[in-house]
Amino acid sequence: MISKEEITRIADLAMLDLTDSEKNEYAAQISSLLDYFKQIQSLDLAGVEPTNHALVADNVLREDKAFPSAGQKCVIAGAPDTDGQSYRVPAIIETEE
Amino acid sequence: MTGNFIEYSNYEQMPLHFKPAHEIRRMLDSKEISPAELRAHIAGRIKKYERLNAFLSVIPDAITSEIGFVSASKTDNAGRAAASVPVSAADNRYWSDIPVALKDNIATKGIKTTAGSKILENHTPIYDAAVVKKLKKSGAVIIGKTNMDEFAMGSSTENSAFGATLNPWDTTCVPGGSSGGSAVAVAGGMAYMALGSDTGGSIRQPAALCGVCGMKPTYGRVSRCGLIAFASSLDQIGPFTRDALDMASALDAICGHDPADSTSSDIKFEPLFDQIKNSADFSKLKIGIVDDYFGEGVDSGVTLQVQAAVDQFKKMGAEIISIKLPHTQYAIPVYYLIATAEASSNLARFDGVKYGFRAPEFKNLKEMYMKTRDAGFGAEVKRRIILGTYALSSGYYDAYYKTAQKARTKIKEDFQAAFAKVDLILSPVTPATAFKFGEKTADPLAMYMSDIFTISANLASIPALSIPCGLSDGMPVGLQLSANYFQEKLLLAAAYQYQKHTVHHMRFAAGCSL
Repeated sequence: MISKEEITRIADLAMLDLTDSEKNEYAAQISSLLDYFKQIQSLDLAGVEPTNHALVADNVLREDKAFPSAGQKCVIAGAPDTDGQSYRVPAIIETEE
Repeated sequence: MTGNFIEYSNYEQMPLHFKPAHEIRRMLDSKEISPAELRAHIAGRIKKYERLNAFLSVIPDAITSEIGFVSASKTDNAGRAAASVPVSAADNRYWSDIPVALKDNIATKGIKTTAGSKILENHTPIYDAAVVKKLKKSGAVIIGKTNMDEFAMGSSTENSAFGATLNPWDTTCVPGGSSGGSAVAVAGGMAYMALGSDTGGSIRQPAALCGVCGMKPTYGRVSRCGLIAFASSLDQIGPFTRDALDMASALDAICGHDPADSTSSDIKFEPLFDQIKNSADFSKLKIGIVDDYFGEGVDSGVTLQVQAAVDQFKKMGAEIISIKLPHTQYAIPVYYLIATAEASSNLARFDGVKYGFRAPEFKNLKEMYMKTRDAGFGAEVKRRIILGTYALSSGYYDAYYKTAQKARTKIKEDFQAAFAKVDLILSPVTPATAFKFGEKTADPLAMYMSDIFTISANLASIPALSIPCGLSDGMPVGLQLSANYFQEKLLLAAAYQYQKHTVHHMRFAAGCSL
């Protein structure tokens, strides 16, 4: 059983501001999912290599050559808040009151 | 429920909107119909069946423009990633003037692309996905963007932030998901082909539940550049069509290597359309079936129709061989651990800074992130982010994520052992036909179980196809054929021969026939 405190910790890692009722719901649901998922821990997997990608084995390299890309105005056009040139976000360094 | 379908015995009998694309191609070429008439007819259909909620946006220019919205733009004037669409044999004009639809997680330049999420409600991409560039090159008229489970997470389209899509065969039932809108667009005569994405069955399951063909090609066959990522090692774009021949021409238009997607395969793609008619020699074809897939947990109506398909392949000369895939019983946990882990990482980019929605009130940067994500994501997406973050977090990584990756290796090896003995594997697509709205929303595991036959193909990266194989209580049943890596031709040749001998793909929901 995963506790509500554990869900709070995970939600913080995932940057989700869950409500109390969400935390209770997810704690119960994820506990029962993990109970079911635990069956894979009974498999004998000693010496088995993990698969990240079933078909992709190598890094793909290309020549270090510049390509044209979308301009700055175009890239920031869809952002919720900008100053016309950059994304605008709340101050990161908090000032003392 | 019976009598809810109409069966046609030839293409002439079919109304314009149900004809396969190859018949539309012939009619356009012989000038039996004009492109403008065709567009107007399909636009009328979309309007008439708006209540099914298959489309999130309809592209008005596609309907009114003389040349068609997208076939007008022959070159990509932005010049961005110009190298990402190589010229190949597949670049013909086969889809010229034919209306097609795209799942709303496929980026379309200048056209809203939401992935079914509130967090991307007003997101308008600045570039076209590789498949969109390719379809434009082929001349297709992109008529609209289709509804989906938010970020492709779901098996019923009930997780869309913009309301569920209804199944045209019975509007009290789900169309399947996550590509439910694309399945309904093709099943309901609102597009001649639609693209979806398949991470664990999101093309094949809705295709089965709506009575159309749906295919997940080999991982890497189709560029993922411009597909909003869910689980990058599993996601693959693929088409919904009316029959195997249309599937071949759809794949001809979208497959091929793309340098802009480092996981895209550089194994040469040979166009399929001309090849599949003549290539299946059933006297030598070996088809594997897994006995467990026909027993407990599968509805008897589904078993009956899939068994009839086995008999049909036998009659056509195929040899049926019993095989074992011992580790596929672990596919659900393996899939949901890997997919949610990858998703928790992919979805980190939605933070209210670069695009989409931002929460209106917050005290500082962290709170802005957290409130934006809590309000912007729906319940299932948040559930999966939490599960995936848990599986990757310190202390649980080895027990869950890494164990799942090792079990994935065993599943992959099961298929390689099977394909040493057989050419194709035949199974049901789903354990049951379309379920009712709300039936599985309270129980995530019950919902996840509807993917039990489809997810292994994603874990193993092999191609798999869903085609209609009959009805059970008036609802469509899907037949799944899978093959080894890059054997798309064999899959479609077998499906083509099957459809030559059967009528299931000639049946349509009566509720959408007029």
